[in-house]
Amino acid sequence: MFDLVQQRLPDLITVFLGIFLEATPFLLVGVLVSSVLEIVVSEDRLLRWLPRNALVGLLGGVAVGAAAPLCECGTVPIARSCVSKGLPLPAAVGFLLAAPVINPVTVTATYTAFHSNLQILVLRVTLGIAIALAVGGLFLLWPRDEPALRVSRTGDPADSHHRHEHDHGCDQSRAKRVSLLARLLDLLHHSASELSSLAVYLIGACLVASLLQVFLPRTQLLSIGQGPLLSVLIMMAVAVILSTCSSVDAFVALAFSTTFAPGAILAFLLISPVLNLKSGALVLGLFRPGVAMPLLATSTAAVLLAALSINYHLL
Amino acid sequence: MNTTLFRRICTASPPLLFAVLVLKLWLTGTIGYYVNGRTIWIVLLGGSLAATIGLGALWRSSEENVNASSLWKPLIFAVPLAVGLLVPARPLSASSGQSSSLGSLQLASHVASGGGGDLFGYWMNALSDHPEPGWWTGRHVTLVGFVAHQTGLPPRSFILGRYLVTCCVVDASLLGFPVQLDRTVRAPDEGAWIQVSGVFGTRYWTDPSGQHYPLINHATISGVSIPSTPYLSP
Repeated sequence: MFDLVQQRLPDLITVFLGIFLEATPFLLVGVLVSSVLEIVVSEDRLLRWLPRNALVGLLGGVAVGAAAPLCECGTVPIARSCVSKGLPLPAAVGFLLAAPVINPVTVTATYTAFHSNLQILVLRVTLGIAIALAVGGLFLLWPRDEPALRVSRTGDPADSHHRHEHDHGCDQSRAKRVSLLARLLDLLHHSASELSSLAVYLIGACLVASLLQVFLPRTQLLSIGQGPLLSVLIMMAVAVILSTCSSVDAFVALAFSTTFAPGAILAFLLISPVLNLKSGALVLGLFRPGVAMPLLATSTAAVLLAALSINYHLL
Repeated sequence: MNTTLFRRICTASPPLLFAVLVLKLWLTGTIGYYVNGRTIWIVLLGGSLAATIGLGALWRSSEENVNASSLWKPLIFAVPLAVGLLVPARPLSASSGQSSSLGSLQLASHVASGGGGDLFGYWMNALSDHPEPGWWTGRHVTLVGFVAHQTGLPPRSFILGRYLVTCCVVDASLLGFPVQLDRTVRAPDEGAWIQVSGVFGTRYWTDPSGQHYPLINHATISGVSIPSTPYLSP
């Protein structure tokens, strides 16, 4: 056993660094853009762009999600903040589910990873939109006057100044007063803090993917990866455990692309931004159980259904 | 060192270390050991961005309010970067789990022909284009690759392999040709990079998944250093 580890340790380092080097640039772009939104663009301005009608809001939420380069850790607090300011719940859910999957950074990363198999990219985007619209549509039934958010410790559901778990000390009103250089430095400092927070999950995911690739013979991976149902369930479980940031999860999925069925790869790419240990905890922590549980359950069911359809009928 | 400066360094160190790692790999010409040549620019761009973010975070002069409990995160980020900086760069070897079976021959048709005298891609394409045994018989070949072993090979045989890497090494698939040595030739060590010159014979080897490969016979082998681009590209 020790000999095996000693023999394969250099390969483990090579594979780990390979994923890490390829994924980190996308994470850097993601944290830089979310920092711009955090420091430069105010929530009020974001709200002005979103319609108030529930059905139009749902479509608008998905459309904004397609344009906003945010991973799931950025979208959950923003969606909560918008709901607390009166945005219809379907619009928030549409944004919440669409943004991490179809935003420009995620799409570019998925293209880079799967450029030799563009079906994966096309299906990820189209199914991502379809699932966001379908699950968001279910929340059209949610009564408008029924509270959707958990009450914060201050008793104010709108108290959402700190969108992320780390305390970076940014203050927009102060930022407006200070010079352009100081704001730029604030932006870069915020990006560095954000990088440290999110990279922890990326490193964990890279390590698990590397261990599986180096120590598990490909023949064994193939034997479990080709079953249409089992492969999907395994990849969904892997996505939840790894909790990779959506802007880089395509590179982790790539590790399994030669051994797992296409539906399983898509299940990983679709469920990862919605239900992983990180985003799932955020959704459960910010929304009331009556919203969070149906949201997570229907999203999971929709991804499972889509992945099985692909494995059995399409690819 | 005061506390504010220490925290500032902690915040700035992850992106700065990443930038240093990219710089080291670029200067030593070893980024290609980790990612496909066509995506190296993404890594270089990431390194530049990381340097900008790190320097900006280090320079930030306004008042900070960094939570002390969050200082362990930069440390976690620093561990793999330190490993990358301290451990010598090395391409994926024959002992990785990815070499336990040969990749599908469908991949062979997607391999780029290569250049600079590296004909491995050219011969892999031929494997896809010419499944008929008659085409191969008597053709001379000179290839560079590493030695890999597979189950079911004839005696005194090995696979002369190269990994096909589409994006980064995590998606590597082993492609290669079986080589059968004459009794007088000493068998090379597994994982060694060698040059093989030989001739395709009339016999085929069938791997456990049912794919057929022409055997290289009467091979002469010599040790070579690892190429700067050790992987095949699609």
